[in-house]
Amino acid sequence: MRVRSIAWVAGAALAVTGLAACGEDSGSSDGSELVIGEVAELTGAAEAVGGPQHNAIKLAVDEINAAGGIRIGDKKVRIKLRTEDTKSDPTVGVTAVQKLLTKDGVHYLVGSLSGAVASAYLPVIKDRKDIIDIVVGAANPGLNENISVYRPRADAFQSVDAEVTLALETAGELGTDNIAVLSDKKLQSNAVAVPKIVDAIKAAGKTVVGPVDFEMGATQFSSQIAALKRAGNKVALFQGYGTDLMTFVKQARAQGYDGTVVAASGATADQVKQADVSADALKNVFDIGTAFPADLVALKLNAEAAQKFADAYEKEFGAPPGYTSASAYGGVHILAAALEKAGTTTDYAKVREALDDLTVADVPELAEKVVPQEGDRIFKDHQAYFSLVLRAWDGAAWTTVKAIG
Amino acid sequence: MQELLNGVAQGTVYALIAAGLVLIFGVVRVPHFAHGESVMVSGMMTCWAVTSLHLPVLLGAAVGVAASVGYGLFLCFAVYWPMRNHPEWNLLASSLGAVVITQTAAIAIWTSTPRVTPGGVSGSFEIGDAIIPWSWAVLAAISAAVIGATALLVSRTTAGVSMKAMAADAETAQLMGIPVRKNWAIAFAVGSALAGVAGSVYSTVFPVSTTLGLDVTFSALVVIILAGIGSVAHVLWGGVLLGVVEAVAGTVFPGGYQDSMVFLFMLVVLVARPNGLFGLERARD
Repeated sequence: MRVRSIAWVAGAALAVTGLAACGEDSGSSDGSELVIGEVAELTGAAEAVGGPQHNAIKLAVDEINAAGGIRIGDKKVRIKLRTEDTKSDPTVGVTAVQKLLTKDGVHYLVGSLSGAVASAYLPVIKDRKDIIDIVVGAANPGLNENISVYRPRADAFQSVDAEVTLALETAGELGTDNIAVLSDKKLQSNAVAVPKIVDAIKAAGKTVVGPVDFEMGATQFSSQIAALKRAGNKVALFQGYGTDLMTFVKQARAQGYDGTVVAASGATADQVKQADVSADALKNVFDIGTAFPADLVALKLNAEAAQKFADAYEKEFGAPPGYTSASAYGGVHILAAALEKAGTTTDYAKVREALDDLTVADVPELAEKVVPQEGDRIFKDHQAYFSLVLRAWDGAAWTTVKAIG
Repeated sequence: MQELLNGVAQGTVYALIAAGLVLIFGVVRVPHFAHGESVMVSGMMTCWAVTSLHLPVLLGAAVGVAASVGYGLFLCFAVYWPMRNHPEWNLLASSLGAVVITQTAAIAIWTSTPRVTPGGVSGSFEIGDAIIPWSWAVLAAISAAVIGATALLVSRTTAGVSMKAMAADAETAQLMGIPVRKNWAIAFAVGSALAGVAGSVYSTVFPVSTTLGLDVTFSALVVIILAGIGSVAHVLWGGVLLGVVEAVAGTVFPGGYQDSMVFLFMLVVLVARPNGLFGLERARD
């Protein structure tokens, strides 16, 4: 019995180890390869968005390699992607980045969805002039104020104005004086975005209910819903991820809260399905954010590139792209275009110069609607800006109501 | 009123999970930290059975409970039983190891995206100015009924009396001819079934994810500390108390302090009533 027991346990452990090992990418870079490190949230609280973000990075890398690689001078350099899962945990994230920098010797990073993870590892890279980090998910304002960080992804501030404007308009239509602010206290970007939201609401002469905190991955929103109901609230701004928005909306409607909810969550149809939320519950729920490829196609904004990316993604992964997928895909192509423009992979100052000067036309693969900066450049102070869209649930999918900006 | 009723509904689930843990710990004296994983396995299996196999919710729940019982028995005989004569530290470390392995495997299978089992009860009713979803009422009623049935099982059946004898003094019980191995199996099967019922019903109301196990175990431990270890019936009150404290703390204090207030309350109870609010002597009756 004892031997059999040990065999069972060992078998189970081996099976799990085997499963984990399946995901590892072996091999090392040689002279014709450039190793790029990916900081990925493949598991943990941010997994629902992190998985599709990783897929898009992989898709871009595969496309570049299929075309022979990045042209550096007269030769082509293939990309070797080294992916490290942060488990959506800042401590693990720091270890992952240190491993990429020291063990794998990478100088180029892509990825980073969790703002908490990005903030945690930032001190490791911020003074390194030999590191370039393309952040394609984390929305913490200010992250791009470091020499090593470029962000081809909207920061939290870019949607704040649109959210507040919609909330104020709705409050005006409903004749209500207060607006509630629900804030995921684990979401790093909220530390700066929420005070800005609160100030803007107060400046408009309305009172603020909250900020009412919750935690990423919460299963219960009863206390928050009770707080909103006690205040007689009719309009709420929800600052959190799509999975949490769905849980909140479902429970809020069941407990008699029928107010309008304005969010910037990037909620997907899959999240609606997973949370089993009815179409009735999603009435008067609006989501503002960077456009998904489907939004761009509907709005005829950069539609051809968006459709091409969406088709390639669906063909490869059997599902539509996630919230940050297009930014991730664009981020890899931006880095590749900058390396080609610089004509080097080892002169990091020259690569940064190329990134600074990169124009929208230099990266035809961009599957988003980038708002060009001075001189048609992609970045201003290492930050890219995007057209946003307002979405609502039509019973089967999130559909585009209108473009913003 | 709303907060109070929210707390009662949530508390009954905590109680159901804690009842299973009390049963296992009382009989086997194993610090079974993987008990929350039984809840998770059941919730995920129920959701999978309903969404992928398209089974009705009740059948899906049966699949979930069966999976939970299977998981509990596996740990019982593959891990804990062979170590029954080892120091308690070994068992503690093994149970924590089981948590990590189970969670890793679950993430590999189901990812860590939270999900709700579709097909639960919908609609709400009002009590005063509080609006209570029917699904919560069903959850609370099932939890209370299952705890009641388990209390009866323990107090009125031969198997229950054997388990109580083992809980009181395992060595003497063995000398009196009570089959230890069989009682371990019964304790793990019944305890894991309670966790299974909790997981499957919970998944029809609230989102479940592959990472919820340890949180659930900690809540169950708090319930046990509040109620006093040894009695299945008393955990119901411990659970309700925890649920209410949680709900009130969430209302009175900002979100960041809710958990701290719960644990502060637990510490106060531990200091003032080391054997729990209902006392060890009464609990062992």
